[in-house]
Amino acid sequence: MKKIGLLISVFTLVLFSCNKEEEITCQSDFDKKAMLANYSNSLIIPRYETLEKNLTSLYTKINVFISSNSLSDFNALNASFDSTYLSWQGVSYFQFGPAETYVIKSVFNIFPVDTTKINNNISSGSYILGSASNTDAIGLPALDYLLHKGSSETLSFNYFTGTNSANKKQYLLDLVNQLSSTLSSVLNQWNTSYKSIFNNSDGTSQGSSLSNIVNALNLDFEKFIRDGKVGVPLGVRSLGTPLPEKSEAYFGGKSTELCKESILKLKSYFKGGSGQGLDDYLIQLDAKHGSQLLATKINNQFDLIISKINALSSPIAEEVIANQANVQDLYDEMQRMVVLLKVDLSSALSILITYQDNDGD
Amino acid sequence: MLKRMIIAITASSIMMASCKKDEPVIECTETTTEVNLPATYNFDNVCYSGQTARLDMLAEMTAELKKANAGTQVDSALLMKMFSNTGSPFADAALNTSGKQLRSKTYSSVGANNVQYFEYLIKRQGDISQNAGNTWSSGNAGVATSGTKKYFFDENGVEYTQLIEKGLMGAVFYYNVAEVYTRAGKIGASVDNTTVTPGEGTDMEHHWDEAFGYFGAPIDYSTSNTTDARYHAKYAQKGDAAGLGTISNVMTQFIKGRYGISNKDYGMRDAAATDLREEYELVLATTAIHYLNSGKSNFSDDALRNHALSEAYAFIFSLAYNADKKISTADLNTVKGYFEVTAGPATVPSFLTVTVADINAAIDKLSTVYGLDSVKATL
Repeated sequence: MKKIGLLISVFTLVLFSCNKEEEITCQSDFDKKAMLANYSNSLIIPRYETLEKNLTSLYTKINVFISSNSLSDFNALNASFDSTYLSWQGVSYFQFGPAETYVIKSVFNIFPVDTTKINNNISSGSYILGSASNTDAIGLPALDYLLHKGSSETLSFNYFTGTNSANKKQYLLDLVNQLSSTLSSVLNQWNTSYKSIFNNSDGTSQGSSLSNIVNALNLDFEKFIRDGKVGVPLGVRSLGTPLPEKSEAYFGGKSTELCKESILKLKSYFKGGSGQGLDDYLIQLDAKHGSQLLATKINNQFDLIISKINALSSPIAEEVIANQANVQDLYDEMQRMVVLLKVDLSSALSILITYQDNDGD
Repeated sequence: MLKRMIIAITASSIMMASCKKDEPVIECTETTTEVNLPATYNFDNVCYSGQTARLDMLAEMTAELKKANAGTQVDSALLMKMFSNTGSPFADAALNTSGKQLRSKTYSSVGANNVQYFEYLIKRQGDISQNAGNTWSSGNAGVATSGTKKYFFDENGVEYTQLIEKGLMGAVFYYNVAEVYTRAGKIGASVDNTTVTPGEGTDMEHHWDEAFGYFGAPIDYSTSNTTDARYHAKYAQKGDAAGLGTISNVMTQFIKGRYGISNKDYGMRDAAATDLREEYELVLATTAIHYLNSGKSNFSDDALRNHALSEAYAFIFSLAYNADKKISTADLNTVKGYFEVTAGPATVPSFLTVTVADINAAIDKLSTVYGLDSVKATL
């Protein structure tokens, strides 16, 4: 009898303590390590591997074009480049751990490029792509420039049949080699020692995986997405004067597609793909934005941003001149998202944003 | 005087009573440490006004050097006067009449960047800053900008302001702590530790206080109380933030040394002198790695990269000012070498051809030598 009484009261206690309105909820039930393992196994490593496949294919297509010199192989090369640039969008905010060691973002996607420097490198045929003096002459933006030297695909193709053709083609190969070898170093660490470090570091202090994830995605969203893809071309940092030449993929005109892919992939990352993600953790913590669940608010904001991107009818470089108001709308919604990510998300997860430069010098 | 002697005699009696005849003095030292060390650098007759004056002098020199960042040529003649405190060069009149100077306390021998090197840097900054109105590019001195930050670099991307400021911190502040005030010449058996000068203590106490003055810390410096920390003391916050306990580690040795001296516990004094040099050296090593990390994460931003690497380079070469430095001279030259090029017969710093791999090699070498592998990514 006594035992049943005890059982009933224990059962009641359990029920009572899992009531969502109680201050102490079941937040300790959320398996953070499982979420981290989902991030590394289903999102981070696979996305890097997709990028790696695309780079390998791109390298092959460059070599095919070099031997055939045919327009159709040049077109295939361009298509492969577009896929590669798209697959970079989904990994840009993994800038921690191995990505930070090899500063992969500075190798892959620094724009705008210094076109004079690229041309001089090609003329001389002698350069060290990894050197500090070439940081604006490499990466996907350099490929974007070289593959779109003309106003049409045929004219761009002609660039490679003119003078110095061997140097030009060699530069393409060297650029892709640099990307592949950097990515390979990063992936290798993820596939060996770093994954288990990442999966097991389930705290919230600086250097923990959650801190790395949140800080890196905030930095990327604020600086590279909101400002780099939209704000700077729009003129937000130049007293309102649009700077179209500073937009991503300026020469190939794919900035709108790349921006959209970046946001779609970021939303999926936030949701943990089809597994446990930050949004699930926020729901478990019952994090709120006003009366709404913060996870819902953030997901809705992603959708709103995508709808603003869909309202752009041409590359961002053209839109900032022709339809400035639409780009301003997009920027404004991205700015609202910065607040949600940098203030609401970080405090709900007890993560300190650490990337503001406080160098006292 | 009598009171002090009685305290001293009583203290030694206690020590004698608590030490077995054959036991080395050091054991008693450790027992005393656990019980009696003050929490802050709170002692009688502490004075280091001369050191504070030199810190202030370096601040005025740095302000003059930084005019280049605003596009103005720097006055190297004025800087040379500030360096030797001749001709009333300082805006702060008290410095002009202080009777102190930086130049005479700068490392002046061979084997490391010495006083002539700094004079050369000062003069060069004056010369090349006539280009301060230009925009920097590889091979062309000028100002590089990143957001609101502007830095003047020479044609190799090197910020001479950092080499001079952070370098003099090493060649004057750190050098005097590591090579002068924690050595026998200033705290050894031949130095008076009996005659108390009011406001200054004994000679030995005063010398140790001067070492403390060079560090730049307030007497109650701790992780939770960091206002007023200057220069190297301020940079101890880098290692502290990474969980190394850097601030406490250095402060404890300063306190221990002064306590040992004041209580005539020379075993404690000597242990503190050795440990202080090690802990202070770690401030330089952790700060160097911090700026190397910054140079790497800002690799594609000319202004931020070159600025960070300039700081890193100056903290790295500052490691030389300690005969007991943990890093070997060969390794130190290797690490510096990643950031240098030969120019005729000379070797000069240059960041034009530096790669991420170079920076990682420098970080890894420093981290291995100083045992910082667990924190090197977060410094």
